[in-house]
Amino acid sequence: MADITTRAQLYTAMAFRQDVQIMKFGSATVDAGGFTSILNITGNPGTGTLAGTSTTQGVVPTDNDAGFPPINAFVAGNTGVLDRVHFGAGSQAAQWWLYDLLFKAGAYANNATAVALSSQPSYSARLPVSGGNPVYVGLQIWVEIATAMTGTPAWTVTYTNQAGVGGRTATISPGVVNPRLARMFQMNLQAGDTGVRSIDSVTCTGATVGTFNILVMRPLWTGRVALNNDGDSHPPSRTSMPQVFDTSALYLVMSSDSTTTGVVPEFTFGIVNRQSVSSPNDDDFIAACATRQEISWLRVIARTTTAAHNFSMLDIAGSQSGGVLGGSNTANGVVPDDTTLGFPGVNSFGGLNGYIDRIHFHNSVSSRMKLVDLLFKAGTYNFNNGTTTLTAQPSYLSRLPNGDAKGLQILFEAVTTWTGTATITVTYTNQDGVTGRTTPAFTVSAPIAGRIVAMPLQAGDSGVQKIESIASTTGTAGTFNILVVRLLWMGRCGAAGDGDAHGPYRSGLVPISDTAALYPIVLGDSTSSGTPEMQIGVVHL
Amino acid sequence: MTINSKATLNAAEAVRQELRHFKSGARTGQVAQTWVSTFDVAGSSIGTLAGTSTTQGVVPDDTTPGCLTMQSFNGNQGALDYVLFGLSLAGRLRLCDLLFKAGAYNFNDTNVTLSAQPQYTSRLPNSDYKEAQLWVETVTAFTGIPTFTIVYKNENGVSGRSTTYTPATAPTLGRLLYIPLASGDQGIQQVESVSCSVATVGTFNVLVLRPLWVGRVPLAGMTQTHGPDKTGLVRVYETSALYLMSCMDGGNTGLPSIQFGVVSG
Repeated sequence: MADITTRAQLYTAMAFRQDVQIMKFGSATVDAGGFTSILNITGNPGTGTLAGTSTTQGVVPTDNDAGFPPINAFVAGNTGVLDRVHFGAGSQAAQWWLYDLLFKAGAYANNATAVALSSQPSYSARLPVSGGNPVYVGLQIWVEIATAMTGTPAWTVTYTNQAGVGGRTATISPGVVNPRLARMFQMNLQAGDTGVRSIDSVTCTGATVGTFNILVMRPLWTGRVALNNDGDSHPPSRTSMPQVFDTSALYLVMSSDSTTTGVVPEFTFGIVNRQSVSSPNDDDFIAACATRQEISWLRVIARTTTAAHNFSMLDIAGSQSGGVLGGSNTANGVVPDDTTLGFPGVNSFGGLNGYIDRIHFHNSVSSRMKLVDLLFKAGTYNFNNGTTTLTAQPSYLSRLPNGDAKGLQILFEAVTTWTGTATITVTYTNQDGVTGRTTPAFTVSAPIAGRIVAMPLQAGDSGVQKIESIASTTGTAGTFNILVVRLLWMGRCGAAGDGDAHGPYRSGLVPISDTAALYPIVLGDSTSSGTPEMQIGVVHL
Repeated sequence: MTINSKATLNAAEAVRQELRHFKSGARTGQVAQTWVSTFDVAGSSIGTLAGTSTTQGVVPDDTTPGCLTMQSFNGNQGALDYVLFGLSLAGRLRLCDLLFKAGAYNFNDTNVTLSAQPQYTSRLPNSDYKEAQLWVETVTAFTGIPTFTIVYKNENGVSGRSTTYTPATAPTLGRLLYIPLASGDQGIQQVESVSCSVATVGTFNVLVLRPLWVGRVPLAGMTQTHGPDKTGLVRVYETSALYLMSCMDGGNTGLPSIQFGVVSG
């Protein structure tokens, strides 16, 4: 098994990175300061199911399960690591944790008494190896509420510890009355233990209603969203490059500062694995600096926005003038590219591969900024459009690394200001080519011009290959586009005038096409977009 | 030697040029969050704000007063290796290559046509005019809000392109205004004519700038260093006219100081 052990290997791996995304568009009421799962909230990937499916054996969840982002296969026999995380949230300060969910047993009844497990599937293949042996140290046992409970439950689990000693006992009596759906509690291992090999039996007391699961998880990463619309970008020095697997079930847990999950938490997890080739490496990227293209993008006036929401700046005066918000084709849609008005021209890569290796960004207001490749645009549709079935849609798959449609997002974009609430349904072909998939219920209250809202995908989906139909049935005035985008980068301007320079590790050397329609999106903390600026370094090699 | 690896970069760093720029005076009375020239402010390398040619313009270089003189690259390529920067107040600093300067124009100049303009193509990587931006630099403060109309040749060599820009407020001394280009244009090969109307007092220059680097000082008195990962080893030329501007959180430019390393190989 080959690990990434040198900087040169890391750069090579970065050039082949997969960016795995988790976004949530719904929200839920939670207990301030309590741990909560967001698996069951609508988003992208589509909703997952909290309730476990086996109480007597348990299961080892994988990336293929509903609600978890799929991970592409690694180079055979090689290991992967988490090398970069972009994250942010539209509302709600919270601490976030990422785990690999190794084992799940449930859903157990509130009065489960010494329910014994047998023939439990092993998760040893999902653990780092030391001295030829899987490392169980550091694994944690958690309780996850599958349906809201009544009473003040307490749990006891017997388990086999990190050294293979059975009959050990973990307990937790959190003293929480009527724990909510998705609430989580970490269990205390028996004195002297530091990990867990298997769950052997489960008991719950003190509750009269509700169900729960028992989880075994391996912690990977943590990050803090300190205030509304906050976010950050963690390079390898802050992820510490924990090992992940191409079957890992990436599972987010939050602890909100308040009583809601907030809306639109979004995470991009960069996963790299040792490649079987040795280039491009760090030397190649240094050499490529000599022919870098510097793309400047800026706006000289601000747009009125809604606090902490995504807004387009395409039609605002600045560099690359002439952009038009309204889409030009409702029947087929179009694939915008770097020659489309309002988008920066990208020089030809001459058949080579291109990467974003550095972004300078600033804004006159505190805000978040994103950069996406606008792959598809259909519109302009009226609020009372009814259903439009698209035909002969142009394909954007050639703009994607390996033609991989996972992680792509469907966005609603208000062209003109709405009166009333927009209710939009999009039917699409998912990342695997399955047609007839439908976005869950989606409404936006009176969006103003330029507002962009990400739409959730159907449960089990994690991307989109094609838009099939678009329906709008409510509102009394307003027009909109439907977009498909690939997220490339996120950054945070923490104060007016703030910004940063993200080098290769934080930009992530994200690969782009030389026809990419680079489309910045701004999320002001208040009601102005500010006058944002970006300088995007693009290298090809 | 070509810089194409860690080893060659390290070798180039061993003989790196260190350039320093500091300002001992501040420009006050500015509008927060707007870009301002430091070109003529007291300190090292004091330049003159007012341009010297309205009918041809000039291509400033490293020997122009106000810019920093660079040593020869001996036929090799140069790159910005690191920037050490600080400010006495919170704000941003941007370093550009000043490619072209025409002025000083009056507030009421109408269709001043330029001819025989010197070319700056050799100061653009890959001769890519998309990296060239159009700016107005206020030489003396305006009374009234001016409307600037500039006719230019775009990045593809199409002449007669025209852009009109009116700022939100009357530009103060040293204020820099980014001028959006006409719809569909992404860069500028040449300035062809300049007009200004509406205002009753004020003079200005027209600049073409190539942005090289930008950095943020979040707290008064703070300093930071950007290494090659953040500068991106952006290409510079031995004749580059390095031009520093600031964008402050308040109305005072503070005292910027900047030291940068230029490698060649």
